[in-house]
Amino acid sequence: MARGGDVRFWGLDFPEPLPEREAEISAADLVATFSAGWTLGEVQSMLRSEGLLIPHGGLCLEHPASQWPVRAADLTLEQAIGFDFPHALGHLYGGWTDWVLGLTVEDANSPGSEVKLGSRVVKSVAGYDGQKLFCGALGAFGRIVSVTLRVYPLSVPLHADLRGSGGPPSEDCVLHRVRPADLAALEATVGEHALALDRLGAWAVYPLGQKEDPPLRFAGDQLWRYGQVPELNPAARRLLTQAKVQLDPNDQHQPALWRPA
Amino acid sequence: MPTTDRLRDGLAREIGAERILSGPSVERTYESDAYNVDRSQPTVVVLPESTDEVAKVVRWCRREGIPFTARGAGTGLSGGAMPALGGVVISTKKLNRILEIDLPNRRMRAQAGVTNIALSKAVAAHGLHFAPDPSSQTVATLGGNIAENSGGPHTLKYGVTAPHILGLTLIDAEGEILELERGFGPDWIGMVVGSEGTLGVVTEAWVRLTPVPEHVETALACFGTVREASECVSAIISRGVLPAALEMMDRNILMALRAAFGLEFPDATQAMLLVECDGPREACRQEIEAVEQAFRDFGAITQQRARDAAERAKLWTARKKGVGAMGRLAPSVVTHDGVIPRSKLPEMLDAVYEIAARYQIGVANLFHAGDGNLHPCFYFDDRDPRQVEAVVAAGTEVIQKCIELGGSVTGEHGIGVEKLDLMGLMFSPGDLAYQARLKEIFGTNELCNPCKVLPNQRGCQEHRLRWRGVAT
Amino acid sequence: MSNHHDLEELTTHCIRCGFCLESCPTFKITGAEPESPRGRIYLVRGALEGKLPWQEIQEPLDHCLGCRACETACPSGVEYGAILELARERLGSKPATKALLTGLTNPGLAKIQFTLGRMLPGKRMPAALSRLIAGSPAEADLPRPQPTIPWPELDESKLPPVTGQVALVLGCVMRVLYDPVHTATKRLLRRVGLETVEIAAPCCGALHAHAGMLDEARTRAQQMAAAIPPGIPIVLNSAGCGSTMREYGFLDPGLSGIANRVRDLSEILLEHGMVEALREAQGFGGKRITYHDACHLAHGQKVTQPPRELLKAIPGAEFVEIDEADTCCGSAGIYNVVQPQMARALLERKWGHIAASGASLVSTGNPGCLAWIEQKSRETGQQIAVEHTAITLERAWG
Repeated sequence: MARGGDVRFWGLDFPEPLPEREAEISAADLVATFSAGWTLGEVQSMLRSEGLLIPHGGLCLEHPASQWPVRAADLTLEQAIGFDFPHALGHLYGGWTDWVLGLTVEDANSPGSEVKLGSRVVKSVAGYDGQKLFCGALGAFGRIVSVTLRVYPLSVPLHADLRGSGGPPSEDCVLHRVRPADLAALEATVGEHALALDRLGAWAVYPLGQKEDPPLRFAGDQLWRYGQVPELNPAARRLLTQAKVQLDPNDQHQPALWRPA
Repeated sequence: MPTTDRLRDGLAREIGAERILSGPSVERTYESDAYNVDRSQPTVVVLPESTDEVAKVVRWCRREGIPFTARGAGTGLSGGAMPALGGVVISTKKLNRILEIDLPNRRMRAQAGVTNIALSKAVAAHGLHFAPDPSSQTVATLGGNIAENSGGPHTLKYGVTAPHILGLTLIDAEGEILELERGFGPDWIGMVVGSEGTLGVVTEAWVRLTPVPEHVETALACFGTVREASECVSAIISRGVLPAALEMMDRNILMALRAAFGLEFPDATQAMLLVECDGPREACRQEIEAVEQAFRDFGAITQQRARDAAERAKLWTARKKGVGAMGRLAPSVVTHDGVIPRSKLPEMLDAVYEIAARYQIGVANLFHAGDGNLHPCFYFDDRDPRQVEAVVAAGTEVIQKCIELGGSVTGEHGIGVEKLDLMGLMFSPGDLAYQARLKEIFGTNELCNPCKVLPNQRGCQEHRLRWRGVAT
Repeated sequence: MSNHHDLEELTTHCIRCGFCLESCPTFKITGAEPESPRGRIYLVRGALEGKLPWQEIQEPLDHCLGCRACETACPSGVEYGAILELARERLGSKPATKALLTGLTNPGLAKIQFTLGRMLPGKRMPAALSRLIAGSPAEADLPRPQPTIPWPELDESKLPPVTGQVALVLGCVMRVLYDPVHTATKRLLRRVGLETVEIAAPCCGALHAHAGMLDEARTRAQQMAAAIPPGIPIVLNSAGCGSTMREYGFLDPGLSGIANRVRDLSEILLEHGMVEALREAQGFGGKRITYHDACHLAHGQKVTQPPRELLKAIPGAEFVEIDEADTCCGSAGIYNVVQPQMARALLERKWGHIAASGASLVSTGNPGCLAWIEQKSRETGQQIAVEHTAITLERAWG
């Protein structure tokens, strides 16, 4: 998998990483600010030399399965945040929306002007948390310039309960966040092809095989199918449409992605 | 027809007269929340019992052009529940039912008026709880916690309210009912949580249930200097310990506690640290031993560890009764709230003392030290306008210092009306304009909890003297 | 309680944090802030400062039970009970309430009223009279005196030697309605080696103080004090009286000495070895029992553990807690007569918790609670016994 620029996920193109490469790490405060063009792998190695890390234990840094479908380490921070890239330690450390304390973004409606969202400290409730909307937005609201993250000491425990086997499937796959109660049923159903991560946070990946539909629909929080943007509920669609109007009225970023059907 | 009658009659047709309160005693008791420097009276208060009734009220207000402001227990500390332009207060106190408990999936759906503590009590028998624990948790409501993104002493490890909300029902400012869930796409829930009731009224939510930790260890230490205590805080965290709580109290808080409750501590104490670790028994024991080693390394005068639940409660007394003890010293206490990078604690504390001395007002400090979230408490007599002004001015200087050190104007109390003027310290006009557009995503209007969070909103500026005028 | 009676000063100690809200029974029922402690204090302060007329705050203050659960919840030590009584004094009492109190707190007169009451249809206060006092039909049955319990003589040979004396205040309501409680009290005290000196002064002044009739309360307090012999502990088995007597210094600073000697029966029994004495009792053989905190014991006197420890010590009794055990039942002195609807709502809530506990007996330490919860028991077929803690403890011996 090529790094950075030409990662495709859900069939989406992400633009070239922005050129800046700055980093500021405060070990005493467990806070670090990075240009959004760094890859997660690069960021982790900078942090490691300060005795720190981002506890992103999913898909998976230290596991053979990490080659599939994308090595998290190859994603830029902008992409990882745009995908709200899943991982296996959510029950212990949360995810991107919890780690992203602040962002500097380009105002899509005013080229060249940058906007600060959130803060640079681990706790702040000042103003609207726009930085959270960029988590999972697939880049549709504009470019992320830099990211302030909450980071952790290297010594925190990183034990994801990896289940299933058979290695990473090569076919078209589904990434599914299931509720804990459904995990056993999912494993039983998809058998050895299931790669279930993190029994408490309950992520699972399983192959579609030849079938068009996934083998089971669980009452999970989301169902992501590689190669296809998921369905949205009416409330989320309404908000996304309005968000595009407010933040990227000329539809310059990920065009057509959120346009009503 | 007088305004009160028009509102009462109009709303009575929507949800029934028995759900509507009005009159002088209602106007007075709903004119502020626990932040009572600024006040503004509602015309009527409604007590709806369902999401549909809230939607009816919001749509009626929208049609008639009447401002509306949601209110839970009114324990907010920045004026978020103050009806800034009058109109209707929508109380959630009759939205007080737990709707569904889903134990296998560790989640629960409840109405917005349920108290924080009731959520935990409902699942205590199953070894679960709702993790956010603001000090007001016996009364503060789920809806209020969501509006303010409430924190508490245990948020160091468990996070503030946002990560514990899995879904919510929002009546937006147009009266539309939006069901938001965690899932694919932008983190809408993260945006609504902490928006101080300005994006609509949350009527229900799915909350995450967290297992009650298998084991808890609590230790307390007294230090001869604030610097040693602060450096100890940083050391604990950088050594890889993530305590559930890491709290600091300064000498003035301890003196107030000694006067009010007879708290005992060595005379040389300048700062006290309270640390709680939890988790699996063995890991927890190792963590607390690392903490105690840090206490020794940084020269603690005395230290002790709770041997049982009763001793733990005793060690927590100082922290929990701190602000109450201040209330015994003076008629009014304003608890400020700011955040700094943890490593700047000693410098910040020096600044707080210097500012208080310059304004000749009493101050004592409580910190969520692990988060760098400080709470300087100014105690004063709010019947003296000169003192009120001094407290407001001193508070502003404290927050200015927080920003200078790279921090935030508020860690958990919110902007409300209290900190409108301070937003400009942290955000440029361009940043604030962008935030106004973020607010517009929710189709919000000038009626939904007006004049909060963002400064310089249309039609608000001229009311500010009135809010303060009522107070002095 | 404070020695200064400055109402304004007392109200300023409230920093309006709101921590009291969920402790307040009327707030829990109505969800309305004027019906909360924070709201009421702020209304009183508003009336004092001329921000709103006194008559506007009459109703919220009338609705207050005076249970003082808010004082337990308050982190700032606000003296709500004192604020309430001083504000009620400022508002003045309704003549009908005055007449009711005069009858109730005079043992001779009360006996006649209650006897007459039993001859009335429905055994409630006539609607016309209730409307005069409460503005709505009555909910509370007129109380009826508890019949005497034929206990056997105590066997002196099995009792410990007498080691001390205590003064037992017989009171007004308790004496007329629950004389067997006094009998049980004296027997229990004797079982731990204490001899009882009965204090027959008619009324401690509690009900008058709660209604804001502070001058009347003071006169009664002074009469009571004069009737008590010096030096020995003063024992109360009525929570409302005990609470007021502990705070006699508020009515008259000269009575602080008396106040410091006041103890609840459960405290005295616990200190003198009742837990050990109960080991010899035959007990209840598997009965599930529970306890309702009288407000003026739990919140007025901060006595919550001693009665529980005693009940748990009864051999064979399975003690369970009810939800909201320390929330008012709605009786609250004369509250169930003057505010029948709210009192009824609180009684139903309390009874729901008691029934859900599966207990067949509920004990409590105050005559008002007893009469009110007993009424609900009667309405539901008397499946659950309602007793004074002293009766329950004494019955452990059979």
